[in-house]
Amino acid sequence: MKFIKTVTDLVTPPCEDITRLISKSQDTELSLKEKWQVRIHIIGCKLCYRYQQQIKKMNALLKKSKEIFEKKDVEDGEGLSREAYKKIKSDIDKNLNK
Amino acid sequence: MARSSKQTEDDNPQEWLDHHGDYLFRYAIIRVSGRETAEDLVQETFLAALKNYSSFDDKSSIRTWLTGILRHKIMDYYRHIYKSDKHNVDFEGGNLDDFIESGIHKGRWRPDRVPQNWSEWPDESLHESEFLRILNKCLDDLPDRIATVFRMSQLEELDTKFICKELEISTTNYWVIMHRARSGLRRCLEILWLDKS
Repeated sequence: MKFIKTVTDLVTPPCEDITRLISKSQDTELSLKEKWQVRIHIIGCKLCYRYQQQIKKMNALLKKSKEIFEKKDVEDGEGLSREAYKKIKSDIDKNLNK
Repeated sequence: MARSSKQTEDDNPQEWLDHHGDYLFRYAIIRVSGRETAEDLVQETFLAALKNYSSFDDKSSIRTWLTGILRHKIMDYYRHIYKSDKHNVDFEGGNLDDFIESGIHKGRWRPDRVPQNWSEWPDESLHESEFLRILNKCLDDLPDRIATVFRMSQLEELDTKFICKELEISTTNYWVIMHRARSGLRRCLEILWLDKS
């Protein structure tokens, strides 16, 4: 494992650059060279592998949560507050009576 | 939820708030910072809708129409927040404090900043509104500019080209900002989560 780690350090850019590429891969297609840099680097680098997995997990959780949240109907305290409701209601009434 | 029988219920603007208020609020709350902002935007939406009711096109539902107005309001809000944040994003250096700055280990993870093991992370058990709440809290800790770009891209789901044009930034700058956002959020979620368990 130590050997692989040494190879990783020698042939791929440092973790700082790799994380940047991992993030970029979420926004756009990486070049072939960039893809391989990431692939080879994470074989030997547990931390960047973790970073990659966590970024993906974060994305997935965000997508899923948002989808569920938007589909669901209002439940416990997730709607307009009473005060806001009243305020808007009176604003609407004022406008309609103009 | 409103049984959308357009003619009877939604024709009366007085009913709009009851039928769509909470929906619009929920739409806004996950896209902007703070309850108050979300409520203000919903209020503005209704007022704008009353003013422009004559332009309402019968082909779309009231809810779709109101959501469209709200989206415009949210867009104005993003633009305003982004432009009023004077925090300069350092596009060149890109140093995130997560990495060693000099010496032979330059660019490697700082021992005190390494990503932790997330195997304890709840996949299914985490309630979606709880996750969104934590995410929003973490976004609030980021500089406004960075949080705004992230919200536009991941929550309002605007496309990259559009965001860059609206905020007058290059695609490269966009990637840098998104990377900052993701790295900051990753770390923040990790800290808040590890704190809880």
